[in-house]
Amino acid sequence: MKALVISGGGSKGAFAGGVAQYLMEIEKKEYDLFLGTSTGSLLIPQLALNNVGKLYDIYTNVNQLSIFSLNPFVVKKKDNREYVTINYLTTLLQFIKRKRTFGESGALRRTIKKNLSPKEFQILKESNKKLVVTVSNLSKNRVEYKQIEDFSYDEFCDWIWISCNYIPFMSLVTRNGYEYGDGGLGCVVPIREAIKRGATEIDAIILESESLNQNKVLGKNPFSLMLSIYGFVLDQIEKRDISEGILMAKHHNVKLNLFYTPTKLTENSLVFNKKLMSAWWLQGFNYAEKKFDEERENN
Amino acid sequence: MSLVKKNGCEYADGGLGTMVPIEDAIKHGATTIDAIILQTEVTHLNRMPSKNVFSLLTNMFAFMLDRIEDQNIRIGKFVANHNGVIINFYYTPSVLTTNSLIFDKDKMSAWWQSGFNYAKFKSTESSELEPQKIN
Repeated sequence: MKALVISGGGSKGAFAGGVAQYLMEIEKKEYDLFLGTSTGSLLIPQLALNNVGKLYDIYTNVNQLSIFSLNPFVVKKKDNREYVTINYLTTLLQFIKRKRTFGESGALRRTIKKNLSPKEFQILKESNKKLVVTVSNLSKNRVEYKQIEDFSYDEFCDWIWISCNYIPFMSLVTRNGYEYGDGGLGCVVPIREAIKRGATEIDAIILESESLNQNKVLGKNPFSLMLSIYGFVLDQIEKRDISEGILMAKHHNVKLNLFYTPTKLTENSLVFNKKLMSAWWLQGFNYAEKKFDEERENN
Repeated sequence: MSLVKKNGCEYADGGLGTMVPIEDAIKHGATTIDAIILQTEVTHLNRMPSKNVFSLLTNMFAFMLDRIEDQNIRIGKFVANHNGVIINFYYTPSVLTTNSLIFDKDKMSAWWQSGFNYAKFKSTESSELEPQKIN
């Protein structure tokens, strides 16, 4: 059983789109299982439908408005370089309104439904392909994997949405009395789950560079320090997900191919910039091509 | 708590990256490991719903640190298995507290005792299962 696993990584998902396009169109890979976390969950339905063109259009046309109903970030420009800071006013208002998150992502929920029609959902559900998205159940203290067979159109679209809800910047959703958030809080790269579900060959796209060469600059106030620590912990979880995946693949004789980003694509993956995302898509495609060419030369 | 600068790098609690450093113990050459894990083996309680941004953040961090702990233990078991290392796990038998940053003299004395008794009980229990060795 062949599986495609795509990690979380916000706007960097465009890079994963390019890699997946190369794998499916040029290498003619056919996957039986698609597993995604966060941005990966957004990608897999159209990939499973073989609608790469449509996916490209989606990923190169999203902007802040198609994600956030209440945007906690502001993009500023300094010497031609875009950077992101917190919108202190919105955050403060949310706090006074006794809301539990700094931003809201109702717009993303509508974007998901606009781009995955009930008809496409039905095709996927009736096909023999398995689609699984990762979510974090904060109340039960566990990671859960939601597969398409078990849900209706509305329910599954909501699980995709929840899988992307990078709290505390996006919405915290309650389902069946439990609080849910982004799957990446618990499992950024679900290779282990793919093996547990019987995958024997896995292509895993990891939206992070393999090694970090730069030193991180930590935040200057408690708020931005907290964000830096949050980022640190997520990186740790991701690193362990990968090493656990590698160990488990060896143990179960699973063929595992890892596709990292060749460089650090961005400091903040919650900024959706059309130009950059188109460039990353192409970069992903070319990177995968180069990787396969090198492997063929070596053999 | 404090963030500390050493040699130009900023440092904090190791638990943010590794909760149970079993893998590192094996890397350093350990062949038998007693691992004390300050959690119950299975979660019994549902986490309280968060009331505001700060309690949500606290819940999120606790959630992520628990995932790191799970990963550490699973990876530790894999590596131990692969290297023929024996690990004895000592989990807490019950949930000791929901806030481990409160230091209460009476409670902490009771926990010390309960840890001692638990280990004593566990070691008699496990030695009964093993065949008796003479010398």
